[in-house]
Amino acid sequence: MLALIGIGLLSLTSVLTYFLRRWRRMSLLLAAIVSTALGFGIALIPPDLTLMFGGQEWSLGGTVTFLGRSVVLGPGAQVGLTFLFLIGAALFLLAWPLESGELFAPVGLGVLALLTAALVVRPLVYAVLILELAVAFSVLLLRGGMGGARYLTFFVLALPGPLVAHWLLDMYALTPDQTGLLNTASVLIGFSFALMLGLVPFHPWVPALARRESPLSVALIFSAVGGTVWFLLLDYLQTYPWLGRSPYWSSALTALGVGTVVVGGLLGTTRRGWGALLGYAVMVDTGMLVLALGRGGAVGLELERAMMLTRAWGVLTMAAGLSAVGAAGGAEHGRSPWGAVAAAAGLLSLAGFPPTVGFASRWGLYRLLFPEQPLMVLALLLASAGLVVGLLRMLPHALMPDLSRPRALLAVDLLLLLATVGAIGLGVFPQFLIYR
Amino acid sequence: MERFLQWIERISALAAPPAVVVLVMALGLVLVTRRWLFRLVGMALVYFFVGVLHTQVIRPEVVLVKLLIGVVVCLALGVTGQAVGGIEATKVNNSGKPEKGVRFRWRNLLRWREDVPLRTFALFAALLIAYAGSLRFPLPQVPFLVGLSCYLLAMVGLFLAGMAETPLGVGMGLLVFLNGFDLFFGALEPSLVVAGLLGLIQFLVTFAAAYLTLARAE
Repeated sequence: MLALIGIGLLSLTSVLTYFLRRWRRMSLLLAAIVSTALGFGIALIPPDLTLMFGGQEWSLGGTVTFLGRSVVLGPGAQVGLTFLFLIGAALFLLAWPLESGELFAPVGLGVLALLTAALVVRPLVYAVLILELAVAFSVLLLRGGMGGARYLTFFVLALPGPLVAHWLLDMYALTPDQTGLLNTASVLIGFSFALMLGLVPFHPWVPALARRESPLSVALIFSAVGGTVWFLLLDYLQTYPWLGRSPYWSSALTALGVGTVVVGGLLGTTRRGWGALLGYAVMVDTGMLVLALGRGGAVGLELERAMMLTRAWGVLTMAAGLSAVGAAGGAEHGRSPWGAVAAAAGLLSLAGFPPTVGFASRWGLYRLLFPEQPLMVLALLLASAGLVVGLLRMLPHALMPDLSRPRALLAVDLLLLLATVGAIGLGVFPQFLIYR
Repeated sequence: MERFLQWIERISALAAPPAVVVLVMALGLVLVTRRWLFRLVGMALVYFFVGVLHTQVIRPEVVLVKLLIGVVVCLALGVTGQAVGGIEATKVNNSGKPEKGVRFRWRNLLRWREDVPLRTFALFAALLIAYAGSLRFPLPQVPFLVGLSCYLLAMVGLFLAGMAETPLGVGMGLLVFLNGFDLFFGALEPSLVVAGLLGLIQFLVTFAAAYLTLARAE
C-alpha cells in the first residue's frame, strides 16, 4: 500500500510541478520535499503497520493486488525505494541552483514514479517493461543528440531477453527435464543486464551520454535508473537462485567486471572533457560492482550494497561540481574552483581513492580478492589510477580562479562544499553510511 | 468493425508470402533511402504488413489496436520529419545562402547518396542472416514466414539504429526492431497487458526520438 501511495504522490506532484514549471525553484523545492518525505516514510514506517480506512484494514507493507498485478514491498524493495527517493531529493535540491531546465522536476518525478513501480511490481516481466518506459521518459531530461539516442538503443535492445526468459521459465516449469531452457534463460538475462549496465563491450552509451548532456540529468540516469537496474538484478537472483549457482556465473562476472574496469581506466586517462571522465569513472565503478556480485555470498552482497551507496554519493558530488564548472561539453571550461574541487572529490570517490567514501567500500573488495587473485587487484588499482591521471590532466585549468570577475562565496559554493566534505568525511568515518 | 476484422482475417490467410515480400521492399525503403518522406512511407508499409502477419498469431481485435499504434507512430514521425526540414530551411534562409538540395526537386530523386551501396549491402546481409537464422534456429510457436519476418525486422532494425546519424534514424531503427520482437512475443505471451505495455513503449520511444531530434535541430 505504501508503495502505491508513493507512486500516486509522485505522479500527482509530477503533474503539479509541470504546471508550476515557470516557477522553477518552487517546483524543484516541492519535488525535493515530496521525495524526502517519501524516502524517510518508506525507511521509518514499519511495513507491518495496518491502517483502518473506509471500514477496511489496509497493510502498509507486504503484498497488495492492484489492477490484477501484485505489488510487493519486501525488505529488499524497501531499501531500493529509500535509496531512490533520497537520491531524487538530493538531485532536486542540487538542481535548485545548478540546473536551468524547466522540466527537471516534472520529468524527474515521473521517472521516479515509474522506477518505483518497476521495483515493486511482480512478476518481474512487468518490472522490465516499466523500466523501459522510465528509460524512454527520462530521455526528456536530455538536451538532444546521439548520446541520448545511444542510451535509448541499448536499453531497447535489452528488452527482449528478460521477456523471452520469462516464457522459457514457464516452459521449464512444465517440462523440468529440459535443463537447456534454464541455460538459454540465464544467457538471455545476463546479456540484457550487461547491455543495461554498460559492461564492456556494451559500454559506448555511458561516456557518450555523460559527455554532452547536463551533468545532473546524467547523474539521475546513472544513479536512479542505474540503481534500479542493480536492484532488479538482485531481485532476479533472489527469485531465480539457480542463476547464481551456474558454474559459469562467477567466471563470466569476473571477466566482464575486470574488462569494464580496465577499459574504463584506460579510456579515463584520455583528455576528452569532464563529462566523458564522469562516464569512464562510472564504468570503472560498475565493473567493481560486478566483481563484488561475482563473489556471491553474504559478504559479496553486503559489499554490493555499500558500493551502490558510495557510488551514488560520488556521482552526485561529481555531477554537482561539473554543473558548477559548466564544462560538461569539454571545450570551454567555466571557472568555478569550488565546482572543480567537488568534481575532483566525486571522481576520486568513484576511483576508490583514499580517504574518500568510495575507498571505504573498495577496500573491502580488494581485501576479499587479494588472497586469491593478487594480480587482478593490481590491475584494478592501476585502472583506478587511470581515472586519477585523467583528473590531473583536467584539473589545473579548472582550478584557476577567474580574476577578472571576483565574487563572494555563494549558496551554491556552500552546497558543493557540503557534498565534498561529505565525500571525504564519510570516507574517514564510513560507519555512518556503510558497515553498520 | 465486424466486416473489417473479417477482411483482415481473409487477407491474412491469403497474403502471408506476398506480405513478406512487400515487407522486404518496405524495409529496403526505410534502410536504403534517406529522404524522410520515403522512409515514412516505408514505416507505414512496415506497420501495415506486420499487422497482416500478426493476424496469423494473435486475435484480429488486438491487431487492430497495433495498427492504430502504427498510425500514431507514423504521424509523429511524419510531423517530426517535416519540422526538422522546416528548421533546416529556416537556418539556410537566415544565412542568406540557400544551399542545393534543400528545395524539393524531382531530378534529385534520381541522385544516389554515396552510402547507398553500403546500405543495400546491409539489406542483403540482413536478408541472408534472417533466412539462415530462421532455418538454423526456427522461432517457437510461430509459422516459418512469421519467424523469417521477425528475424528480418530485428536485423534491419539493428542495422538502421547502428548506421543512423540522427536520433530520428535511431528511433526508426528501434521501432523496426521492436516490431520484430512484438511479432514474435505476441505469439508467446497472449496477455493484453503485455501487448499494451509494448505498445506504450513504442509510443514513448517514438516521442523520445522526436524530442531528441527536434532539440538537436534547434
